[in-house]
Amino acid sequence: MSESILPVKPRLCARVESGAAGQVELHTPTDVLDVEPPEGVGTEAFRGLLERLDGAATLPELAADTGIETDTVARILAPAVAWGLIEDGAEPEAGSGPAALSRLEDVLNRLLEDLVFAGPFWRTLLTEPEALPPNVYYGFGLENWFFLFRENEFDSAVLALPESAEVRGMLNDFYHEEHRHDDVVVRAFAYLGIGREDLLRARPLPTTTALIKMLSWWARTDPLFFLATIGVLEGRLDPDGDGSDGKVAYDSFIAACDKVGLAAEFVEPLRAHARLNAGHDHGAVSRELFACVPGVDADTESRWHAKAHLFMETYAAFFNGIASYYRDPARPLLRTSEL
Amino acid sequence: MGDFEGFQRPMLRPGVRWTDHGKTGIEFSYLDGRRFIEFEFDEDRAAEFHDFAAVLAEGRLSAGELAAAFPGTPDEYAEMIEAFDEQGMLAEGAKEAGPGLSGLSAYAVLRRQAEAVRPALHSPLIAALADGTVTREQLIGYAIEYWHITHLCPRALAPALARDDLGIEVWEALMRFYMTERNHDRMMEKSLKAVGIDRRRLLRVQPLPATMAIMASLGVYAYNFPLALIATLFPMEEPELDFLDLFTARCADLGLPEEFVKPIVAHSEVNEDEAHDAVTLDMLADVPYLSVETVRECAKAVADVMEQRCRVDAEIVAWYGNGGGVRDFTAGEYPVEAGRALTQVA
Repeated sequence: MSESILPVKPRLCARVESGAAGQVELHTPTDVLDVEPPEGVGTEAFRGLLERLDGAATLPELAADTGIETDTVARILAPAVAWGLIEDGAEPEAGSGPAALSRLEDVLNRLLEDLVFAGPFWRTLLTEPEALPPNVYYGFGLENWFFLFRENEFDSAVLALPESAEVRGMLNDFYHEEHRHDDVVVRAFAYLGIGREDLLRARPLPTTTALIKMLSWWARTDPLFFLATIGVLEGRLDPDGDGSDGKVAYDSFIAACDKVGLAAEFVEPLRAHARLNAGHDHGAVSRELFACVPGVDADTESRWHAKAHLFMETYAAFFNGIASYYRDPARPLLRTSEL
Repeated sequence: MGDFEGFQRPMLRPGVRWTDHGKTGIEFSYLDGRRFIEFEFDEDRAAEFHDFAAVLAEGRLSAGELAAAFPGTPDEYAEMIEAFDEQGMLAEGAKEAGPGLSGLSAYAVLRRQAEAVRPALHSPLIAALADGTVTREQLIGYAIEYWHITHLCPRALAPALARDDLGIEVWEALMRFYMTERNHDRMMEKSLKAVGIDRRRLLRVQPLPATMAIMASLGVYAYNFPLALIATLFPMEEPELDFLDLFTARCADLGLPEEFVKPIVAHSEVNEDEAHDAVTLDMLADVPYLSVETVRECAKAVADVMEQRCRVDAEIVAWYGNGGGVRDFTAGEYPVEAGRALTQVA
């Protein structure tokens, strides 16, 4: 028996009746329970207490109203709670799901500026793209391919999300939209003499693996947090910006490619992928999903805020890892195994 | 994104500042100025846009009301919102959670669901125990299925321990429960050894479909819907009144050895002593909020597991009562008659 589990404002889910012998009975749709007052409490006071359990009064208020001590009220309620006869009239402690996402976005936005865009990859790409050697651009394409190739590992883990049919449906649509995006991007590497077979023999940088595996873990162990990261992962910074040749740039990376004049054979498949995502408005995915999340409690939100830092550290390291490895032209573009 | 899709009451994100930019402009700035936008307006309209920014910052109006309050054209409205959104300057203004229940209230709903389902349930095994028609094979079959449940239990529960969305109190309670459920199969093995079925053989034996359906359900809930796992613990663990007395009496009638009966009784007492049926309430009481849909899905899981438990009893009677025997399908002929009886259980 869980003596300590008590509601804030108890509501009795049973009718209080009198038995033939004057005893107190609780009538449920399927049962009649004889209940007795504890020692020191008269039958009428006991009945009075049960009849007051309407979900509007707290235990101390009930004690004051009935003259039964709060501890005794608690002792009377505990078994009824265990039988499932008591609900709590107090509102459950939670806030709006979309508002929780908004507050989380604030943490993510700040970290995006502090860690991602201030890091060596994005800072250089945005301010002096010509300072990055071509291999860094190719490496970005390649590591993104690894990410897209393994996206099914994390996206698939939430396809059966049980708690909302609406969210589940949207996630299945999203999965479908993301399916085979790696095959769009792979065309970019023909220019580098790299085909799908080469990619299948290669492994990503550890910073890329870290991002993929962490997302896969969160998708399995804290799915709503994972859903909150999609908006960042799919976000695009510059959807309407024009590339130097007048083509729609879609995101800052493509814009930088255009600016430094990388080969169209490499850039166009990446642009096609960015265009696909923009067409599906994937940057807003988290928000659309969270519009169907009715409530989030404070502990959960605080856990997400803490995890957001880990996520953004990993995300920043994903980009900076690309700059760090591919900067050296002596390093192979692909790290392949023998088999 | 020319509208407020996904927002109930869109607002300018707290922390976004706006200042006059000359006579006709407003600059919005966020994250210490690292993100900013400037809007230029016709001189005679600048004040209206200032007022609109103030309204947007309050987060009181719905998307539709905001559109109506916007002092410009629909195109300007779409352009402005898109610009705000691009810079991450929009937030949800609605504060209140949608309809939901505390864990304690959810528990009451689940118990009511269980009581509502119970009258329609019928256990042919309990009926056979009561009217004395139960056979020796069916009693042994019951012990075998019980062994499967205890044997599969740790691996059905374990996936929930990987979850990180339950709160530490619930996780710790699940860990404690997992620890108490380990090695219970060893108790059942003592029982089955007394009738000549050893562990090596049991490890080759397939459970009945309903037994596996229950354990598969619990295991999948543990992976994917730990709240439903928690919800189903009370109907799984609640003591079956009179069952043990009837079972013990029939075992004696049919000459089954005491070593067969004792461990089964002992296991049942362990569950009762550890108040295993109270774990659902203990765990749910630490969950501050469950959406209505979540509780509804948990209630379905409770009703389903109760129906599955009765199917286990019916399948025990059908399979073991029709010569099915120990379900080791690695050798010998499949007992088709027992299989037909099993698969035609109502």
